[in-house]
Amino acid sequence: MTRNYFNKVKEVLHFYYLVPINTARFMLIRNLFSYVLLVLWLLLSIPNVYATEKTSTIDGVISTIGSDTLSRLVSQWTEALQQNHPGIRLELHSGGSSTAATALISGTTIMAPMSRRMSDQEQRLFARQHGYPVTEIPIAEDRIMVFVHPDNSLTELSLAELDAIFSSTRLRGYPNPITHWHQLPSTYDWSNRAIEVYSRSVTSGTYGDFRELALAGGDFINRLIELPGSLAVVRGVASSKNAIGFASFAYLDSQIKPLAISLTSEESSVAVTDQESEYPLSRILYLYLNHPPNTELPPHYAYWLAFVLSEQGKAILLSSGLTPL
Amino acid sequence: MSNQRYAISPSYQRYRRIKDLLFRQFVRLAAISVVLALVSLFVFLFWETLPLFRTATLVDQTDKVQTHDVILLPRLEQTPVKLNQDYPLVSDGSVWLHGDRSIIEPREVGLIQWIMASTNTTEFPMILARPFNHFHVENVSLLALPGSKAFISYDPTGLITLYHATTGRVLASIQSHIYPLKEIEVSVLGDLLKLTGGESNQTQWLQIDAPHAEFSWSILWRPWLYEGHQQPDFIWQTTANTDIFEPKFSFVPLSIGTFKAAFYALLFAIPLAILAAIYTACFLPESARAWIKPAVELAEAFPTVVLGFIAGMLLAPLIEMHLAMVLSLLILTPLILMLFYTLLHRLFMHLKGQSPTSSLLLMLMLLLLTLLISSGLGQQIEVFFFQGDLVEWLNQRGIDYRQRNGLVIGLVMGFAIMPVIFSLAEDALISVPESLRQGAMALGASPWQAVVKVMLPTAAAGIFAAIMIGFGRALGETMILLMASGNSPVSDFSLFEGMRSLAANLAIEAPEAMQGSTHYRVLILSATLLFMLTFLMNTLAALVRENLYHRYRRY
Repeated sequence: MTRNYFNKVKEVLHFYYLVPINTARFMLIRNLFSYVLLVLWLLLSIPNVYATEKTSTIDGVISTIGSDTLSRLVSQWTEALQQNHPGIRLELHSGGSSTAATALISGTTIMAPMSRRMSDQEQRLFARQHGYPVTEIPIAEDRIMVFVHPDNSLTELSLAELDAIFSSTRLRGYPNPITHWHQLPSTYDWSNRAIEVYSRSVTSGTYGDFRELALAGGDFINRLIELPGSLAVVRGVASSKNAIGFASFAYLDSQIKPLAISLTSEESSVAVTDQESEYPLSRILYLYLNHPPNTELPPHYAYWLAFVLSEQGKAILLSSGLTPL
Repeated sequence: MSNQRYAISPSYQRYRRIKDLLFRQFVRLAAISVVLALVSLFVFLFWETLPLFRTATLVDQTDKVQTHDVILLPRLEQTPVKLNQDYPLVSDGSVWLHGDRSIIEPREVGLIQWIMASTNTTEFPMILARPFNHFHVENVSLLALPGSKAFISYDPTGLITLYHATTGRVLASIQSHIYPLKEIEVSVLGDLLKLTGGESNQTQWLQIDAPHAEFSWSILWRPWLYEGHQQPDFIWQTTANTDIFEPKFSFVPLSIGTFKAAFYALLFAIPLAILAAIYTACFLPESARAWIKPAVELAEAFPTVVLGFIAGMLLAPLIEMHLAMVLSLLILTPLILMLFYTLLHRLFMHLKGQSPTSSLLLMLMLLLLTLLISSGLGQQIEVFFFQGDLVEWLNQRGIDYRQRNGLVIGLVMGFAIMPVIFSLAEDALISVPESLRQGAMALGASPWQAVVKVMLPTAAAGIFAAIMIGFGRALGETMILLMASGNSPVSDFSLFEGMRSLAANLAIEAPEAMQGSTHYRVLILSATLLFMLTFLMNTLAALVRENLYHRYRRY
């Protein structure tokens, strides 16, 4: 049966290979024709550059690479703007603040939100690469909240205790490392379990800021659980009773319990929601622009920026718990 | 079929010949380019890591430096150590390194580094870190460089030596022509030195060319003492906002994490995959085999991101809650199942004279029952032996349980590599010549004996190759580890601790590493390491399979 079928196939194949002269010519011509069609199609598919320049309304793609903390805000701003200008679209990469610096220096993006200040080294590299300094716009004051699982009886921590939990260097001077919950006076009875320490990954600006503000520039412990986004940290802590973590104040929700932080154990602690007092873990969020001097920004970027710095933009900032500058 | 019915025209012949030639060359080009791509990948990786191993230099740039362009660091900012009550043990002429966290002190025996251990030590807040190889001359002066942990020593004879404090290495040395050398100043960027001295106040400019001074081979593999720490440790922490920070590159936690994850995955995958392969190849009829094998291979195409997501978000909290149950499911299920089979077999043989164990439906029901029993048993065991909470029990014995741990990774990654091992092991078993098995059976072996005594030994090399391939895949697996392992760089083989693998580390840190920086090159070095590891595994597997093929060609 199989052999029979094979023979039939062979017959058909022979027929096609041993074609008369005309057919061969025709095949050649047909192939040529298809090539011509292909070339024509390629030519037609090149975008029409002149058409886009003629349009006068504000539209275009806002492309940003950078902070995960600010990514929520950036999309909220753009959404608010899109109500009146549906032509503006957003391309958002939120890999962390360090990716912003790298992208700005290499010229991959012209606008990058960062949750920390660009380091001197990065600013120098930018200036060396582009020939002019980077434009820095401070946007808002943010608070890094430290939070635990809602079942945890802990309500406040001093900076030294925080340092002893998160760091292996303890530069704030706590006498011994805190690795288990029973080592803290307020959770002595609550649990004997080991503390699971959650953090953003190293590309994050929040990670760097927390290192400076809470650990006094020391090193994190090796057991640090690093997760790629702020939301992942919040979810991680919410799903683990023994966890402690940190993220921007903008990510506060009911799944977690934020802690009040005090400068030293003698002083009274300040809750992250308390806008009156000075919170120890405050930092400033920035927007960085690659803007050559004496030139104009692309119109949609300029419009977007104007919106962000307007009262409307600031209202959005306030609604996510940040203090506009 | 005769050729007389159709004539082959010369033009068509020509067309065919050209087409033939064209396609042959095209295919050859494709083959060559594949090999070339692999080679160039290797070359690229090596080329990018090579600058790490280049020796640093001090170059005389007196003619080239535009002196008015260089901003020198003011003398005030180069702080010598003030010898007060805080630092009574340190002798005169010591300097703070950049960041004021460690002191370099010149002594008769050579230079030594003190590092700040902790701020609350009662007597002397510094601990002795390391000595430096130093060709001691009288009147040596020190100068810390801004922006890094490098420093230079110089003396009136004009011998200038560049050191790096973290690595403890002498990077470069140069003899200046100025005699006597009075003073050295350094530029703000820390890349130029201005030497002044001599009879007529001469100046000389030196350029420091040490882009990867903070790297050394031993820092990767040995426990190392860093500023702020009490004792040497394996630490992987690469970035910070400031340049006061010492980057810490230890491959040890990453390698341990990689091997640990692969080990636990194999521990889970090997028994299941190989037993399944034996069953499919040796006991299943051809018709069932024809759909079971492709079905398992299809599982290989399951995206590992999804697996990682499931592992991190669902499985990890679930396993933490029911640890005893999960462990008893893994350990007790096969035992109970075997017990059941033996009992049923005996019973039915006694009653009916035939075994019921070949019925698939009965088997599945039995499995379900066993799962129920072993999970219930797990809870009972937890209550009776572990005070009702296994995690707490472990905790009391000093074993910390982390939610994202080797168990979760072992289960999920084991699931991911199982299809590969199964498929290749099954191939190895099925390619054992049927004549061997039939021979064994003809000599009186039972089917099981034929499998264990004849087929398994002959296919052993192929099964080993399958495991190797699975191992190679587990080493390179990224997404599951990235999402579920917690990425904590601990040097620990415990089942209940997290890990950080080389591949996941690359996925986390590669986007932020500045091209050309030490961090970037160290990451590339780790990528090369990973590449060579998986390459080694796959080559080993290929060689073993080749061997197998040659051994059975004669049957």
